[in-house]
Amino acid sequence: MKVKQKLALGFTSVALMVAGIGYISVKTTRETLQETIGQKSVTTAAETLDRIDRNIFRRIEEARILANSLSLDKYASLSNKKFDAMLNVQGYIEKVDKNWVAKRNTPTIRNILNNELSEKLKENIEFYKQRYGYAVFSEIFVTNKYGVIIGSAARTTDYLQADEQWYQNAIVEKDFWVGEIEYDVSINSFAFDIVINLYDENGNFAGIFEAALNVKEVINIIKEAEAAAKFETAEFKLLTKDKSTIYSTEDFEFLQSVPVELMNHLYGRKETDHPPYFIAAGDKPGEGQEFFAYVHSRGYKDYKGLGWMLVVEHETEEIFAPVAKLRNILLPISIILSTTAVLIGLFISRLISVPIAKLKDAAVKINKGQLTTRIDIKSKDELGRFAEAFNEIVERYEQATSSIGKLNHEITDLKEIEETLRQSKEQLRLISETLPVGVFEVTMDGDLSYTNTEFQRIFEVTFIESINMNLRQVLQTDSQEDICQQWFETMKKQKHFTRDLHIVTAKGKYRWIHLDSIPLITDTCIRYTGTIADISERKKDEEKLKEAMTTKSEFISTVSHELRTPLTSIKAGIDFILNGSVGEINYEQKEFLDIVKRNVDRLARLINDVLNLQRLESGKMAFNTQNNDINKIAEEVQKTMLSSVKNKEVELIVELDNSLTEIPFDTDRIIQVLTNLVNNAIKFTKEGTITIATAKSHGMVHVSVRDTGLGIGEQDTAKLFRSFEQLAIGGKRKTGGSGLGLAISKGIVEQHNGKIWVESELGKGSTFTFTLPEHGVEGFSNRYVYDAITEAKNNYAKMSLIAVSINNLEQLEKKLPGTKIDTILQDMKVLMEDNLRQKNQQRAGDIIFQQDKEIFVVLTGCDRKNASNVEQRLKQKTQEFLLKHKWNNEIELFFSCVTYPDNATTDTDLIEQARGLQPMFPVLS
Amino acid sequence: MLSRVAEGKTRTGKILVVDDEQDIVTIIGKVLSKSGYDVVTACDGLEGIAKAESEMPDLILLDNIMPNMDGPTALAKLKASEATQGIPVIVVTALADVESIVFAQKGGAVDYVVKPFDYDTLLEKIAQTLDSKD
Repeated sequence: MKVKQKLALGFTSVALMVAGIGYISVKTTRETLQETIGQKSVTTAAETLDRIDRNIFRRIEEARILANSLSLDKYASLSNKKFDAMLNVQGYIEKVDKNWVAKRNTPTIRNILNNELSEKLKENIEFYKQRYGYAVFSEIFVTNKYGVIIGSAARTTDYLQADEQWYQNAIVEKDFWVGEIEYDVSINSFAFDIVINLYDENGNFAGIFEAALNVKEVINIIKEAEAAAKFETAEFKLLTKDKSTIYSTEDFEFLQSVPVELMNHLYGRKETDHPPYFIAAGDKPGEGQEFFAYVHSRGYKDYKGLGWMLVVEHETEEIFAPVAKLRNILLPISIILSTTAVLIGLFISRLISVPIAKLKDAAVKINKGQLTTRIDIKSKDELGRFAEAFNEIVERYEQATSSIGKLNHEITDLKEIEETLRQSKEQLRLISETLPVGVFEVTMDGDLSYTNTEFQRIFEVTFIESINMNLRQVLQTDSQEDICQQWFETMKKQKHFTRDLHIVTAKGKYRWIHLDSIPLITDTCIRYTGTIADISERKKDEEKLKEAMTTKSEFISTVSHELRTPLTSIKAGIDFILNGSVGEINYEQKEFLDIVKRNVDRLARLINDVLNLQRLESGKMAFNTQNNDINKIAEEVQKTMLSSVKNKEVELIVELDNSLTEIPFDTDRIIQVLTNLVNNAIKFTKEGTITIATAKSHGMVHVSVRDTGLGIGEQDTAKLFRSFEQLAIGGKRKTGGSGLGLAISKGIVEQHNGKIWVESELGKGSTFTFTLPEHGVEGFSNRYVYDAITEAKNNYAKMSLIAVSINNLEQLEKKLPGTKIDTILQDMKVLMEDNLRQKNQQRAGDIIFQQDKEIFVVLTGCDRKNASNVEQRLKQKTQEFLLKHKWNNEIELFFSCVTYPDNATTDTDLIEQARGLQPMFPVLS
Repeated sequence: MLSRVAEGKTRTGKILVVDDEQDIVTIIGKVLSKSGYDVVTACDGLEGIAKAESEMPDLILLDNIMPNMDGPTALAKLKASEATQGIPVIVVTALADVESIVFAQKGGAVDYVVKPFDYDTLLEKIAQTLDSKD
């Protein structure tokens, strides 16, 4: 059973014991009391009865003394002699008795009753009466040996006593005899006989002396005892051995039968039964239990007693009152104590069982694996300490388990990783085998360690052959030595090596391949892996395309020229006729001829445009670049076009930035472009304003033509700059352009390394903008950058450009002369070079150059990440440099880093971006 | 050319010229009126249909590529409309590929003339068409 229950049981037992004690003590007390009282009562009864017996004995003694003192034996003897001398004793006795009974007063009878003896007897009775106030002896008489009265204090009933039972009984006794109680009329009470046997001088029976003792005497004794009794309810009963009541404290009838209930108790027992008391139902109806103590008469000396019993009766209530009192005290106390004990028990058991339960719960939980369980017992006792220690142990156990768990995980992970690796390897192998690209792996020495099927096909070698070959053997290409050299060097530097190569296979077949290889660096070794793609087809196609392009250009050129020839004649002819050189022409003729001329001119223009465009696209157009003022050009164009807007409700204005300096461009061509844009604007604007604006922004001059015309939808802006695309303008006929205008403009602008674009909103208007570089076509597209990009392009590699400029250049220029700034920049350049070289970071082809108060770092074959690293280092070094020379507060450097082809694909774009300019299409405010 | 026309029979009839090129319309218009025809013009498909319905010409010269509604669409509409069904259409265009020709014929045009064309040829075709119509 649970601890709690055990404890509860313990306490309950204690409580029960307390209750038990209470009960036992009550019981014991009761019993003890009972015994005590019993004993006491018995003692009292015994004493009383003793007194009675002694009293009776005394009377007997007195009777005997009286008998002696009265010399009754003499009287008896005398009478005996007389009667002995009689002839008919019996007859005499009968006669006298008859008369006596009949209450006759014969002389004989009178004589007897009044003789000397009788007188003496009367005296005695009187004496006792006087003395004690009542008739102690109710009757005294003497008989002779014949049993007849020879003297009596009063008249007896009979003369002859000898026939009485008592007489018979008495004479048997030697000395005296005490008879049972009987009712005595003469005293109206009960008395019992004391009979003294008389003996003559010879010792023969001479007669008896009878004295009837009034029972009152006895009763008085009892009454005295009663009075002296401690208990109020004490009742005395004097009972005969015949179960009759001689006396009872309560109402009784003399010699009534003992109540049945008592009879068994009293008479069923032996005298020697212990104890001589008991509790029985009361002898009065409706009474409760009563306590009875009794004694048997023991007689006294010669008097043997009459077998009387003296019963002392108490109401149990009274005698056990102390017990009741005790019980009344004890009972509630025991209940309270027991309850308290139980409660305390419960409380204490809780105090103990709750922590124990916690302990048990915790242990169970931990067993189940909930290792975070802790026991929460705060008490300072052993349980508390146990809990502490327990928690510590669990803590350690938990840690240990988790460590083991981790270890297991790691092991499992490792196994998983191994398996994954194995699978990956297998996957890779499968993939590489099925790729339509050749895959290979080669060591730093150039020995092939793996080739896949496609590789083998491309080089026309078998697997076995391939893995026994070195690069130099497998790779048979033009400038073989160079390529291999480059490759090995690249490998040493652990960089990418990418080339398009024209190779010859082992079997003599020629192919074009694209080789792409990267380093595989592990802790143990460095290998190269890469792909070979058979680009023979592509090369062929490229060739074809190139051919086609060439053919096309040639064709166009040829045709255009061919077209021009007849046109010349036509144009000349018409012009000639028109100007009247061959005679006058009438109106109608002129009308027709005008139409003809117009269309001839149009045709000529068209052919020109096509040719121009072709030349532009193939890069063969020659530009006559000179420094010129763009504002002037803008004004010129405005003037020229003013006439075209005369008919319309359109204003043509200029907004020029006066801070613009001269910039290099091909004047005619740019005029062409601007004119084209203005023309378009006019075409598409019904009313409003067309604005030619110039502005400077980040090293580029922006020229824009802004109109308030129809606007262009988004989908159309894309088509605009393509050849021959023209927009329909809702209902109106095609506006006689060739459709090539914008395409040509675009070509021209881009050849100037500028950009052209449009911003438009349907219904609101359009703004066409083109840019021209401030610093000229040639100088700007820096050779170094250009070459680096070209190289990168050819090698399918990347390159990066870092630009370092002075943010507060204008401020600085106020303080220092330009030459001084240049010197500082030069020093910085040298510093950077040293730095690059030192750390062996400089690639073949890395260059640092200064231009226009800026430093550019060209990093060949370098991707964004690496360039970023270089940038950071250079930043750091230049800061140190400035700090050393105390220029750090005066000179603010701006670093930026761009990568081809990530950020831009042309050298100008790259430089533009590197200088921190907004790329692509800036918005003019 | 003109002289021949002037010599020969004078044709009559109303011809609708639909083309977005102003010059072409002018020239053809002049040629035709010199030959004795009445000329009405339209500069795109929409206007062409409208004029066809309102003027009810005897013949329509229909350019192929025009803004708003091109030749083939206009042709289809003309042939679909009861009023204009019966008017013969000659398609006049710069496109010379087989597809376009077949397309025009299938569309219901009676003939097809490629630019630049010979004016004599054009006039003959017109005369033929008008004759056969009669």
